[in-house]
Amino acid sequence: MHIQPIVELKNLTKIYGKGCNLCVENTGPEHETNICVNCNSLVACGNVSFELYPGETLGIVGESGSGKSSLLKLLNFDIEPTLGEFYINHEKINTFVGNEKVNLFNLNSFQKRLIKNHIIGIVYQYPYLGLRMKISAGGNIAENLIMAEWRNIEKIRKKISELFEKTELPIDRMDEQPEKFSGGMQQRVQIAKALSNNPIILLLDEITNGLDVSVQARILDLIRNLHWQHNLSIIIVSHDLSVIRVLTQRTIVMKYGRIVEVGLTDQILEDPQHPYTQLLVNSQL
Amino acid sequence: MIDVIGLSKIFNIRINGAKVINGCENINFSVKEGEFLSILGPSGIGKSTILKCLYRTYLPTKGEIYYESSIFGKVNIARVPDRKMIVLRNREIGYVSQFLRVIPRISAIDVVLEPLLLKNQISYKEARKRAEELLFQLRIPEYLFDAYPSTFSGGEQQRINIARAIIWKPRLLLLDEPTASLDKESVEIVLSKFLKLKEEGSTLIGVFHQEEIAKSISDKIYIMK
Ligand SMILES: Nc1ncnc2c1ncn2[C@@H]1O[C@H](COP(=O)(O)OP(=O)(O)OP(=O)(O)O)[C@@H](O)[C@H]1O
Ligand SMILES: Nc1ncnc2c1ncn2[C@@H]1O[C@H](COP(=O)(O)OP(=O)(O)OP(=O)(O)O)[C@@H](O)[C@H]1O
Ligand SMILES: [Mg+2]
Ligand SMILES: [Mg+2]
Ligand SMILES: [Zn+2]
Repeated sequence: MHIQPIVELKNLTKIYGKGCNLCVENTGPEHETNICVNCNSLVACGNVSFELYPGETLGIVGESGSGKSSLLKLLNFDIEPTLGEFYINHEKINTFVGNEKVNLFNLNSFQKRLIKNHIIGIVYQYPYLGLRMKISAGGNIAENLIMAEWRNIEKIRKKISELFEKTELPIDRMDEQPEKFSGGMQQRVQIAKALSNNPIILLLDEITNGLDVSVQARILDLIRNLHWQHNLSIIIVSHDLSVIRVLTQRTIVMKYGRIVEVGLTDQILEDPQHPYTQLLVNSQL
Repeated sequence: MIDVIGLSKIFNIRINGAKVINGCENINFSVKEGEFLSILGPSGIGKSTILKCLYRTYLPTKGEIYYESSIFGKVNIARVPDRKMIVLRNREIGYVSQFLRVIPRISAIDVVLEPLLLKNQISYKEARKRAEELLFQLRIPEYLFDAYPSTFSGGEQQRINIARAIIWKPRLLLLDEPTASLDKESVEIVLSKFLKLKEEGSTLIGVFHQEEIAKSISDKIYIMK
């Protein structure tokens, strides 16, 4: 039995600033910085490689500024990488880019948009990054559907109602602006939006941040159900190790833009190998 | 089905100065398909460490753990890639931990039925029905089904963990003191469940506190000193 990864990421590097050819060498956990001494640029991700398997939930943990959000934004084509290769192995992708295996970072902006609209769903760390607060919650979702060539208003409204139901949002508040919603509801609107085009890969950034425990529990339930029902492949960033323990099978640990350790989630939590992971796990026990 | 050869686990703790802790040293045993092996020994000798190495929660430092898998054929669990280990955990190998680590923020019934959804293509409804049946048999009161196990008594939590581990009839089941916090009646129900699994062809490895239980239930005993 051979299992092909759905996502392959190779040597992804993202440098903020003008950059030089020593940036990657000069930064990382051994240097205890992500700033290059030579040119003062910031290496948000350096040589990041990993694979995501179909139906898997992969966790990413690491201290503030270690590059987790940058990584997700790179995968969603929100920002341009400095270097790196990105492949998705799925039949749905062939209709957009042909049958040949291509580095998705090299696609044109139209092709990238197709992938964003049809293959990837993202929930940002802060709702204001993923939602337009002044237009209605339903309208936020409709935008996504229209980008994916939904035209019939009746059908769009029906789809939005379904998504509201699935994410436990009150359907009668569809026409209100998300800025009037609670934090938990805003996250749900983001999730509904991310799910609107039946993605095959879901990117989730700190989705339980700042929510009270009972709201967190319902969001986690929702994610688990999505995982069961749709067999989505999910990458979830969280600083909360109990969220990671509940939702993921494998975990990546990042520091200063590098991956310092990858393993089965329980192994990362109970038998961490890297000193940084040991510290991280210990400080949350 | 399982050959453990020269297995050792050493923990290298590198925070607040370096520290080396011996988990277990040079462990050797074999288990045939359909057998029940018990492990006995004093506290701190490394019994849990062995089971965790078998489940790959711990990365073995030395030695091999050969396992005859039905999906992959012979694999060395000590070195199998993570993605294969995940498949083995979802389809073949179950584990009950010594310390009741209930999954936080998930209802008891969902904790129990989840492995069914991971293993089989069955509906949530069907899985729920089977989980309910099992919880009835383990005498968990019905009003607890949809509650969060973190508020349950020790014995209730342990039965939830056991239900989660046996509901999908794993091919290999690892049990770390599964009866430690159960009353006499529950112990009997649980042991009869383990024996039923064995009759149906599963292989079991269990760590038990009480020697009498180990003797009554297992084919072989591995004693650690
Ligand atoms: N647009 C930008 N320009 C310059 N530097 C940036 C930019 N965006 C992010 N950074 C820097 O890149 C590094 C990684 O940021 P990122 O948001 O990916 O961290 P993170 O791991 O998500 O942290 P947190 O846990 O706090 O959310 C940080 O040092 C950040 O200051
Ligand atoms: N994750 C860990 N990190 C560091 N040391 C550990 C870890 N797990 C176990 N140890 C150590 O390994 C040794 C063996 O522990 P283990 O839990 O395997 O004993 P045991 O035989 O199961 O004992 P008991 O009967 O009390 O459960 C102990 O010294 C323990 O402190
Ligand atoms: Mg972030
Ligand atoms: Mg023990
Ligand atoms: Zn530089």
